[in-house]
Amino acid sequence: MDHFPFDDDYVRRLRDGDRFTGEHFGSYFPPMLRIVLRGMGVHADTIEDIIQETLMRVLAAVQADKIRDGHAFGGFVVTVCRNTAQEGFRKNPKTESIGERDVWSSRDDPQREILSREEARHVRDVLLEMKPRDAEILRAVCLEERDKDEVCRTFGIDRAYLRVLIHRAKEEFRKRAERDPLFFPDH
Amino acid sequence: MDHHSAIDSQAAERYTLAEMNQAERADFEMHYFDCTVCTADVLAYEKLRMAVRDWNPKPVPVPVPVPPDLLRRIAPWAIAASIAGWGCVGIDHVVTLPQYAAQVHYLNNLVDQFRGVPEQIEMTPGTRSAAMPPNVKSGRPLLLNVEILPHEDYVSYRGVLYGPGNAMIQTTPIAVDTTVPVVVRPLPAGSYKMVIEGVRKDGNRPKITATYPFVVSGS
Repeated sequence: MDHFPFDDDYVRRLRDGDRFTGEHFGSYFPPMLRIVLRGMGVHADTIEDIIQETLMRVLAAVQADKIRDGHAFGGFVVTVCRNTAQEGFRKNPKTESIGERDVWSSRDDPQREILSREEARHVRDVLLEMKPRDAEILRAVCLEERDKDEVCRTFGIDRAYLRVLIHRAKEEFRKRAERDPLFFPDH
Repeated sequence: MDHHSAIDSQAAERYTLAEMNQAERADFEMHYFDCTVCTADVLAYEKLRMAVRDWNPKPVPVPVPVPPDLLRRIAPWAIAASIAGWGCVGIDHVVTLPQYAAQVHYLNNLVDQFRGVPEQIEMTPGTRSAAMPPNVKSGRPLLLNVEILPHEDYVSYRGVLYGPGNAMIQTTPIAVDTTVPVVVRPLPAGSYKMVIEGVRKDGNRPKITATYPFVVSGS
């Protein structure tokens, strides 16, 4: 998925029904909005509904020329999403506290679509080349979704180490992905 | 939040690790939704999280668990024979039942590799809540008699042995039945734990069903 700065032209093309822009809009935001909503503790069952509602509201605003600054379009989308979710909180108490996210590990998690098989392979390679203990720490953070303080206590590390560890793993993953001709066939 | 402060404050990492309060999260989201660099960072973390979640490390090769009754009948005798200098004969020269070929091979390995009478630790629901974890001597192989209480949610189990610093030492697949002896090479002194994880029917991540701590002290 292309990442590029939003601008007034993007908003205009979206308003005018440009097919490419519409497709980009419909596929670019949902994965990011899922992260936002998960962070808010929204129940997984309602996340897709909130995303659809958000996209509808944003498109309505675009059609009505209510977007003042195209460069802040992303911020507008996330604000609408947060507001929609807050309305959902008020109407429907079916929410979960942050941390109760078992349902997100489900195999039918729509977020899985953002991860290609090649990317998963790169991550596995990164993990296999890490020190076993570091790989276990990373696994504990991602797999168990345990309380991070508990992970730190268990492994005798501090939060700073956790951040460095995840940063290094992410950088290594990105390096490998960028070197992969499957991702950049023109290189 | 601008891009420089996002970088300086390791915002993407803290966001990913859920270290921000809701106000900080909202602030960073307002930034990264319009920042190609931070968006790429957050999505890379998300992909990493998902791939790690799906990652199932290859278990360290360990001997196949054997029927407990067979092991209990043969192992002490075989090991005693080995200690007495008969080890070179090999158990398979004595016990030739074909259906036990794998187990015999396993016991031969046990004799050849571990050379010692194993310390046994009972790991059953009854011992799990013991006030003091079992304490065994270092320098001897261990026989962990793990009792599994089958549950309909799990298709199988695995025993993951963690050592000091929570380093994973070995993983043993365990079928859904009764008591399974898990053989472990001699361990250095330290605190250990055997974690039993249930492998779910629905393919979701394994769930820890029991944890058995034990201590290995210097010989």
